[in-house]
Amino acid sequence: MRGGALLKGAALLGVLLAPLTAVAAPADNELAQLQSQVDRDALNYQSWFALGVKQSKLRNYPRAIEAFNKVSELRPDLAEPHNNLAVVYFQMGNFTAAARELDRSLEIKPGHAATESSLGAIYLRLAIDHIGRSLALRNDAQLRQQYERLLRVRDVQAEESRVAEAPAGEVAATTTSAEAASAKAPTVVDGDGAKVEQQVLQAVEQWRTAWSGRDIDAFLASYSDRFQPGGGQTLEQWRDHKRRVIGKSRKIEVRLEKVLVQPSRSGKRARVQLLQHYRSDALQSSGRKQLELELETTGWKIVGEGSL
Amino acid sequence: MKWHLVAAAALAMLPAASAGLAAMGGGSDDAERNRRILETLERGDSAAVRELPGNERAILKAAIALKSGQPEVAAASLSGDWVKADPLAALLVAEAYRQQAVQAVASAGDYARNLQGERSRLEEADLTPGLREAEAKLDAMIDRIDGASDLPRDILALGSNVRSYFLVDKARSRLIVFERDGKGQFRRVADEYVVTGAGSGDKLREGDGRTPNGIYRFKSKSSDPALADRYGPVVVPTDYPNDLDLLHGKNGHGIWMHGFQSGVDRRPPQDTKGCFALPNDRLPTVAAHAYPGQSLVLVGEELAFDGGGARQALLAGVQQMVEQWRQDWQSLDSEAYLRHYHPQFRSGGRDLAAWSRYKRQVNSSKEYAKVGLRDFTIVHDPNRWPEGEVVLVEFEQQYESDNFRDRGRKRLLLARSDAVSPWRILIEREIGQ
Repeated sequence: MRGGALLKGAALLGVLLAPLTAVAAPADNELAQLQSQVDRDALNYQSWFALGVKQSKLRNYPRAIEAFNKVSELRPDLAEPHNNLAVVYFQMGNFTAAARELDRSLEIKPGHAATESSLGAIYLRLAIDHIGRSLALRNDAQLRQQYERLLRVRDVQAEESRVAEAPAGEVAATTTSAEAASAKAPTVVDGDGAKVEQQVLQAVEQWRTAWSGRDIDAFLASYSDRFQPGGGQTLEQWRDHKRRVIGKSRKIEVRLEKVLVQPSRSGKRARVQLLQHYRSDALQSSGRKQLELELETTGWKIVGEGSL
Repeated sequence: MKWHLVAAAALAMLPAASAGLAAMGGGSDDAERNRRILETLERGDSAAVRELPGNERAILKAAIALKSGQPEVAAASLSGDWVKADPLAALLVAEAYRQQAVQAVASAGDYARNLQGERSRLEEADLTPGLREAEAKLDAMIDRIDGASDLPRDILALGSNVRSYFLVDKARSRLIVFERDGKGQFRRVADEYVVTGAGSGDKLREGDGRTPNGIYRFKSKSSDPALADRYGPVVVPTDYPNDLDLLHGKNGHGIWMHGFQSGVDRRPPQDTKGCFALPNDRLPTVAAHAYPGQSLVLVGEELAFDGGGARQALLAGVQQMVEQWRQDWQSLDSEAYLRHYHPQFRSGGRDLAAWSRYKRQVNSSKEYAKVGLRDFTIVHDPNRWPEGEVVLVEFEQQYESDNFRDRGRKRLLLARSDAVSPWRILIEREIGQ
């Protein structure tokens, strides 16, 4: 279990408890009291719920599961015990059981967005686990790239920016989702190759962002001083040309698809093939492209560029 | 902190077009067919299913369930410890979960702005390209159950020296073999998952890791114990690079059909240095249909099959051109004859100018010429070349003139830039029998 996981899980528990906490808000160190409450009145689902939450916080997962199961037995119409069971199973690393509980929750309360989103995160995590397993059994460069993509599916920055805006309930739920997706992937072979690909993808993305944002300096900085433009231009002529073209455009949109990175054996050079969709106020074009990048002291820089 | 970097590296991309095993939600015919195949797999009474080992059956069931948009069925059909040790099964489960994640996020709707981005990133991470092994096997099984009778569009005519032909479909990772039976009819005798070059696209250079596209022949076949560890029980080299490759400056060599390294049962679809490879338990039966010098190998992407219409039209056009060339040759009208040649023409060391000089000189010395052609092999190249469409034509040629008599097999490669332009001879050479 990673640091902070319990805290975030607990936040979700608190949130999902919302309709009930007014009745049974547990104070710290009240486990015994909660226990005696359910002993006195075994049919009080609110007591069981409070006990389940307490046990979860104390990481007594089997006990927490028992308590939440009791709640859902007494009140099969409530989705909340299933949500909390999902969190508990998730924390235990039993993702399939977590998904099953969220499915039940959705049966009771269809279309609940936060639950759907959490379910998405758990399936994502399961997918990541299984690709990791497949990669551990055989190395496959293309699969590895899809794996890296899945690892990036949940945009953490966007998640965090939402914290301040969204209603409290939804925040906590998705924080746990992010936790689910960002959970560390299983170790797979050829870690260095993956790292190079990651860095190269990042450089390509910076290039794309600079270009789309018409940030001419950042765009030119993506290219090496050794970059050789085609068509008989010198590097200076090419830079001037790019400055003019990009400076003149009011809008540039560059999207990339099918990005495939082939790092060299040395790890200092990489070839990137991609499908580029370019759209400006003046021109729209799509085509296959190849970039050659080299690792320089200032990072990965484009040394060659051509269409395929 | 680490995750900020990672998130920043997320590339803006279009959602991948649904393809392969992704739920297509397509026509009701597809849905109906998928349901029927799933039932056939569950019943297990057809021979095509009965012969499958249990694990393969579970894999195909999962594949068809994914195709029908039922990822939960796919995940459920793959259970047990073997799944963890089988890279393809693990990947199918991963894809099933990915599709469920897409569904869940889609149901969450516009709950939050950024779920839209999340959804498209999830869709972009489509794993189906890695599942081509399951797809190829599924297609082979479906064709077998349906008794598919369509023939490859590119095979137009086969001469008596062709005993079998191999179709390597790189996009589908599928190898289909046809062999001549006792009655002279070509029948599908093998349909297998095949692993091709790690690089995508046509081979251009030595070391580019790509499988060349084109029409080849197996040169030899050997079982070499020294190679068995790396290449499996049999290796069957092709004749890459051929004349057409050399004309286009392609290089590299050693494109073989071979097996897997020992101890490996599954490999991803694009994983060789340019050869095409089959699992060792399938290779011997497939290689048994390879006859050095008498087996054609067509390599391409998305090879087309056809009931006959398109093939007949293409064949008639080629036959007409070759007949006109024969007549113009016999007529000793050099200008009419030379009109059939392509500006980029090569024959041995001669280009079009050298060939024209040579032919004009030969024709001027003759009173008459008689040319007879028979036993044609005509094969359309599934790939597009710089000159456009290409067709391979081979025949036995009988030539007779007042001062020369000759008989032998000849190969022409014809090209045309588009379907309305005439075919022109790009390469001409005599070939050994």
